[in-house]
Amino acid sequence: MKYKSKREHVVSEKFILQLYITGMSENSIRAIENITLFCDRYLKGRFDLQIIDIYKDPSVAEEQKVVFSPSLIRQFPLPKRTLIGDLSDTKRVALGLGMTSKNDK
Amino acid sequence: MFCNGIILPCPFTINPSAVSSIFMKQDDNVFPKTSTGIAGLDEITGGGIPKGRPTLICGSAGSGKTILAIQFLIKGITEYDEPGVFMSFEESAKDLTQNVRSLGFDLEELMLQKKLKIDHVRVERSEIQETGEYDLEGLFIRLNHAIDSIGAKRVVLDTIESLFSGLTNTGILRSEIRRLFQWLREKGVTTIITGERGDTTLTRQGLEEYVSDCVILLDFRVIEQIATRRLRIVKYRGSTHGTNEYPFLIDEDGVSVLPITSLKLEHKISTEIISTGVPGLDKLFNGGGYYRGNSTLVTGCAGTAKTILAAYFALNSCKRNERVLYFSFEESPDQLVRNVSSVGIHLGPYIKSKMLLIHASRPSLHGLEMHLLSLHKHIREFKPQTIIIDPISSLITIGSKGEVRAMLARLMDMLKMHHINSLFTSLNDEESLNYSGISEEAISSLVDTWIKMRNEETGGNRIRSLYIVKSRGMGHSSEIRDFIITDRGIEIMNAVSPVKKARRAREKAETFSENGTKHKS
Repeated sequence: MKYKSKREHVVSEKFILQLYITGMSENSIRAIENITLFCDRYLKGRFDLQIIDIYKDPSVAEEQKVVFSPSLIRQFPLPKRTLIGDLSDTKRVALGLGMTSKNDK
Repeated sequence: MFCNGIILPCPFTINPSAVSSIFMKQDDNVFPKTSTGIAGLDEITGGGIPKGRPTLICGSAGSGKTILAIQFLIKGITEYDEPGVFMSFEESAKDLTQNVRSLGFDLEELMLQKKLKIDHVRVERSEIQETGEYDLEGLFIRLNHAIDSIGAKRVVLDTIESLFSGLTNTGILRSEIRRLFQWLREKGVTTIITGERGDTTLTRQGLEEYVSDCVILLDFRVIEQIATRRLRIVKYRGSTHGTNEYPFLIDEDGVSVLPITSLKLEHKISTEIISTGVPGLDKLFNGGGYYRGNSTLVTGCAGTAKTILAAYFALNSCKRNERVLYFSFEESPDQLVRNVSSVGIHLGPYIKSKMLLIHASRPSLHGLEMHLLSLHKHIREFKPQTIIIDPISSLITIGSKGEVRAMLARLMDMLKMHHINSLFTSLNDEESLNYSGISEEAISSLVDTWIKMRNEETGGNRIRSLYIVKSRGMGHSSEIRDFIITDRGIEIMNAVSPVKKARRAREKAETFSENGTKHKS
């Protein structure tokens, strides 16, 4: 993985990600699989992924302004970003997390 | 013992439980409704919006959707002890609180009491990346949590269509919103969903297809520079409802809708007689005055003393210790009091003792319907036994003939229902006996009593006279009575005054001589 120097300082920091899911719904399961794969592949050792089931803790949905399920929130680096859907579109996930596609590999 | 075992159930025996189940079914058919707490809207809908179901309120920007919705919640809390959830897709809780403070609603207090919950759902396209299939489960959970946390019975979603602007995949959104409405139904909460009006459809995203129970359309239009808000029930499944467009008003007390009256003619009437205030005029009625709850029209040209007659009636009512509400569309309260005091009618003390309230405004201030609404509001607040509208003809200039008639009919109905005595003055344009102004046409068939006032020029003088055109349920004099106005007020002359006698004789003579000369030539 090579990143341009411009982005290096960003990437050198840890990604703090939170995946909000709703129980064992199909989309939720797919999202977990997809994000785990993505992180292992592109963010190895530089991520902190938390999976939160909002069925179990509904109040957190309001706190974090979750509307869609599944939702992946990049808490860090700032600014906060929200990715919705099952995260199957790797290009869009990378884009959403602030990693341009040509830097993906 | 054995016999008991083989007795067959008689086919004609009516099983009590079967009967009750039939009645239960009928009860189920009666649509349960939830009162909106909005003055007038419950009357139009026959009790409110469908209980435990979603209702769609659509209208263009600024038509009053949000205010109507929030009033539904607040009235639910304050009047029916039903907590409510407001899910806002546009305004933040802070903005909303500020916006409705001007209407006297304190949302913060209700939130502290855990009667109201506001959840601001913000979806910004630039901040969201769609990466695959998703659903609205997050929203469902938030809503569910909000409802359960305060035991809400009422929910408002304002305006859920905003979600569409934030997302590209509208297919998912559509099916999810459909599911949301179904879910709300199952949850059994009475919901108001607001929607912005589309070009060809009621709402931009066609939400009306999903909400099949009740759809209310709000409209805001400007006709001849006067803005009027209107409301119409487009659809109400399983219930009868008013189908007209009803004007509504948003003022410091929130939303109120017309009509407040039923459109039936079944008001109770009174046989009690009250004085017109002018002794000589009372004598022209066989009963000695008007019936209580009577409506009187006084027509005449400029300067025929209509306002004086109205002031008499007001004064008399005050003397009976009955409150009077005087709507003046041409004179300010001070001016009116000064002018009528010049003929010996002193209204000042009664204004001080709050028996008389003069409400003066320009007729062009509002549209016709708005005037009716504001009349109604003042009547409801002041609770007068007598109202005077001086002159009603200036209201009439604002609307078309049909509108005027409809409005006046509604006004009369309302007054009759409340047993309020009323007197309207109306200005005629021309000094002609046969001329009938629009107001006369529109109103004369609605009122119970009609008095015409005139001013005739005769031999270098103007002679005032009046006569009763009609008086429902009471015999009346058919004479044209002359009267004079002095600093002590109106004095009605005897049947045929010497002045008039002389004039008539002279007129007769003139006609003869004219005919005579014609024959000769």
